[in-house]
Amino acid sequence: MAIVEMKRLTLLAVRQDEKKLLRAMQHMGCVDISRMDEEELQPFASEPAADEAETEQLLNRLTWTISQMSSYNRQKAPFMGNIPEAPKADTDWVEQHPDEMRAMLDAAEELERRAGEDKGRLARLQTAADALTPWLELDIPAEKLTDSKLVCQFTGTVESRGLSTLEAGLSELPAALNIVNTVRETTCIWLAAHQSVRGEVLGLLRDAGFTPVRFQEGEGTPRQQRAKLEQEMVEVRADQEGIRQEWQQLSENLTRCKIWYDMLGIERQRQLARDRAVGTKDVFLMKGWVPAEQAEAVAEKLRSLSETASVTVEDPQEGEEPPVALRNNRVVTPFENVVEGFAMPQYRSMDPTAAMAPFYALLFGMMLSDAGYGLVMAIAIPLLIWLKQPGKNSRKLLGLLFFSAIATVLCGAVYDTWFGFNPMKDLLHMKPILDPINDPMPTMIVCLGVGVIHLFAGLGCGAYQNIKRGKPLDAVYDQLSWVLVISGAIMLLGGGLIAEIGKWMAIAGVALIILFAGREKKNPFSRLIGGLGALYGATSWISDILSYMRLFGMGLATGVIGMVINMLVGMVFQNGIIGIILGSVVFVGAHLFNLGINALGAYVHSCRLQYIEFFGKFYEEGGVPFRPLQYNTRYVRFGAVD
Amino acid sequence: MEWGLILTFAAIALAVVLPGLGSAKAVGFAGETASGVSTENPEVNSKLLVLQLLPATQGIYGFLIAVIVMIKTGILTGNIANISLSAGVSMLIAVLPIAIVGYFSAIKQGKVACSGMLLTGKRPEMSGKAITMTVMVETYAVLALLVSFLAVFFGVVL
Repeated sequence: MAIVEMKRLTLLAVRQDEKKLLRAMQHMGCVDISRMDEEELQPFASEPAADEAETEQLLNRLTWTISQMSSYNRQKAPFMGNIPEAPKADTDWVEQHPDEMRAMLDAAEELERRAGEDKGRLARLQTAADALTPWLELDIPAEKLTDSKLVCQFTGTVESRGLSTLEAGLSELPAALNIVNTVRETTCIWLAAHQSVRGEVLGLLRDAGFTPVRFQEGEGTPRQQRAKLEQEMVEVRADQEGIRQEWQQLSENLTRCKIWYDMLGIERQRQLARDRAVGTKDVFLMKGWVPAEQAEAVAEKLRSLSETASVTVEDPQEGEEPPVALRNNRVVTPFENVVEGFAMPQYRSMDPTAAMAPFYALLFGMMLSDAGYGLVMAIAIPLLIWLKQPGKNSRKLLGLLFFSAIATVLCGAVYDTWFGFNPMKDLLHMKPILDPINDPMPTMIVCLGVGVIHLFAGLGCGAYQNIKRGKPLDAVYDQLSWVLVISGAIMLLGGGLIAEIGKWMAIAGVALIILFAGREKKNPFSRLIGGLGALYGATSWISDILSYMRLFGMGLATGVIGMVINMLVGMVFQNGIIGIILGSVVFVGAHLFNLGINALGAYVHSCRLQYIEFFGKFYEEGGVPFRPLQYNTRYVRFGAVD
Repeated sequence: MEWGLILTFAAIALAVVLPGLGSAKAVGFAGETASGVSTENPEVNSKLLVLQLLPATQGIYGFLIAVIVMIKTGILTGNIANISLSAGVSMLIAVLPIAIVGYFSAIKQGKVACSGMLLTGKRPEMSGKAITMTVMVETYAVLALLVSFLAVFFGVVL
């Protein structure tokens, strides 16, 4: 129920044992190895070893290969982080065939290269074939389109509007014009003329905007050339199909690639841990944090592995900031997610999870506020966990929602709202305990009251911290004073004797704040100013308390939308059998939508009330999360690794 | 038809249209940002969806007030009360807080959601803070909702 106590582990050992020791630590999974960046140690800082670059490169290549393979071999994505166990046979295979695995990467990259080449070739062939299309009617082989002693030949395009002038000019010369094809504004022509009139013909052609065309694809008529190109394209496409099939075959190995990725990833984590240590050629010095409970066991294990190693376990020293891990009982653990989503507490402060958990569920329940929705969630979530076995993180989130759902059932019963219906009011003709739609005032008061209790709980946590640090008076000055002011101010509303008591409580609280809030300052005048400044914090109290009005607003939103849904469904229901079927579908769909959007709203607003209002009263954030060296994998779990 | 009723319908329309427009706009551009960030970092997609949906609530608040107006005036049940001109004007004014604040806060919240998405894309562990920053904007929509609700429910005398 607290922040896990940490011990400082120092390990001095010879290099030969380094791998063995790191492996053991990774296997135990409870040592967070710190970076040693003291200045005097810098000359001994570890250089990344040669094999690290290689591992990193292999990991990058594997990432690419896995993403490529995944488009051929569609493995089901793990549901909510429930990654499968690595099949033993495949794991062994990967371990025993490193060369084959590397060859697989090479093959994948070779396929990619070939695919790129094919793509380029296909584009080139397509362009050439397109260029030939207008010339298909020309039945003269390309190799015959050369000039001879007597005849010169021209193939090319002219502008269509210059064609008549060209024809007229040519009609008086020894020349033959053949129009092959007309594509919009240009006309493809073939022209043969006697060498003696070459000059005139060229002049006429220039006037007509002639652009010569050469058939570069070798011999044969344009039609034959095109057929050849198409043949080549068929071949390229066949090769592409072949590449696809090879990918298909290769991607049979997807699971092995994933296993290899995770194995390399585990190795990489060890390498990164090693880089944080310092050392010489023969020895290395490594420091880390271990949870106090496991510290001795870890030290024993390390000593047993290396005879020469020196392993010491110490308490953290003043000025050292050990990493922070939270540990709570089974009910409270899911709520750690909320704390971790904000920021870790400082090592020497407190774990707020246990204090926060019941409020989180209550606030969520008041905002979702429909007992029917709560029931649906409270039944669906355990089923989901049981059937789908989600991963650790998702399980935490689901746990959080489960407890919140139970609170929702309770709050919904108080509000008398079940799937938008009000059974107590409509069937039993009883007045519900709280009726936000028809009698909003009591509900609003309850919401603000919950807010005040929540904020006081925050002050309680602050007081606990102060007392734990041996400063009980601080708890009186900083926390009790505000409790007096706020509860006194509330009692003032009560009237009579209560108001009288409240008045004096508030005055006592204000006096405490003015006199002691600025106690750090020596100068009595600036101390008084500091006290008055702290009193100004009362405005933030007002906005903090008012902020809990959202409990009312969100609760009302769920109820009113549910009511409107039921009204619409009621209208649809009146239209015979079709109406009943359609109405049922609408009923389920619309309520699921309402549940979804309001559960999300309740989730984020409960978080906000914790982070801003509750944590604002005491929380000391800034701890570094505990990240032990362990088996962090992405695709598969390894059952038992050495 | 009487002016009181006409103004009541105007109030209903304003309460639904303006916050609805604001939320639709904000959820829209937040969605564009979400898809952009997802192409870079697909793993944070579910966190982005939460951020995208945050500015959707203003539309719901506006709808809520519209329904409250309809309950109050009996439009929802079919026996419409006799609404005086002054009641109609009051009704119209009473919905203005959620209509105006709903519209602008939705768009502002959408913008914060977008930058929160960029933050989450780069540093997924900060998503809790990104959500908190976005929810901060919503406070004012909640306040406007409450004032509109109280004014419609207790303030307007038919």
